[in-house]
Amino acid sequence: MPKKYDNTNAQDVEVYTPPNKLREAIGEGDGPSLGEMQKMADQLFRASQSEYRLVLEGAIARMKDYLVSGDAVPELQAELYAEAHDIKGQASSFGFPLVAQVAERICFSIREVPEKLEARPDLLELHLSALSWAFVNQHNDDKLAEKDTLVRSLREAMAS
Amino acid sequence: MPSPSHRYNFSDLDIIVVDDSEFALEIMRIIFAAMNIKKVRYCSSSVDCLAAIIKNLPDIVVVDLLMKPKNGYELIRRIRAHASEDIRHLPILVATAYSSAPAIRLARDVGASEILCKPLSVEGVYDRFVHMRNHPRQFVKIAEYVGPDRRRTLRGFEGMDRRAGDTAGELDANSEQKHAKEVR
Repeated sequence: MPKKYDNTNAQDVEVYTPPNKLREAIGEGDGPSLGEMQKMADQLFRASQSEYRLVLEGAIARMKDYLVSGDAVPELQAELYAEAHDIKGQASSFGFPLVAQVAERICFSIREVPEKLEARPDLLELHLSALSWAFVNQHNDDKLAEKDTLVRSLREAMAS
Repeated sequence: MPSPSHRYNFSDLDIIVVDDSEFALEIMRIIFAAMNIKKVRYCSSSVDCLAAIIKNLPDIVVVDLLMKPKNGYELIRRIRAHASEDIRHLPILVATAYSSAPAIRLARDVGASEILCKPLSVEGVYDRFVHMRNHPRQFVKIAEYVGPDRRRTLRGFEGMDRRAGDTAGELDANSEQKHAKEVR
């Protein structure tokens, strides 16, 4: 039975709990364990990695095109933000965590200091170069030290 | 996080997912396949999603926030304001890469049940689904809002009480309005 709260200063508020249909839909006690589900997901993500590599390649190429397109700064930043935002949310699932981190930095910089990027176009170029580099070297074990410092160096460049 | 030894069976779960990014949907396809969830409908726009909900009510809706032309906030508002009680009460899981505080606050304020930040993982989706199953949200119905109680916190509520006619919540209105403008 819904409870009615009413006092002279308050809005009329009804508080209630709707029927819990998820309890019926999600059974308890059987089904694969969480570990088994994670193993299965790892296999499926690995199988899709080469397909995602092409998606990532296309996205980075589009971002480079935007940079030289001559678009007005707000449009350019919005286009780059949209691409980087997708990469940030997807890349690590397919085995590109460094690419996702650099994409996150791009989003952060565009969101937080757009004026600085407008005044210093070289900083956007630097971020895109870092994204390309991360994509090419994500799985290159000879570049571990550079990979470790890539995101930090972007942060430092933005602070300069 | 639920105990790893505890088992849940998601195979009867009926889900609608909406995201305008093809590869975000692909990630969810993989995660749901790994969780043995078979009844999943994938939508690439808010309009398609609402139509799919009306056509056949799912058990849960998974919503991305930044979509065009209508964003996820607008979709959640429409679900919570729908004439059908069953639709209004749907559990809504927001899955978003836009994890700034104003974005999350706005998602809560329009009626999201739970929020999951991207990148998505089996562990994250499993955790939120089980949490939503075991801890269903209380709903609040007032003149301008129907949806999960937005005051959920384990720490208790320390702010001033708007339900008692207070206006402390307006302090944050500027930042949220700014974010709302951004996503429109």
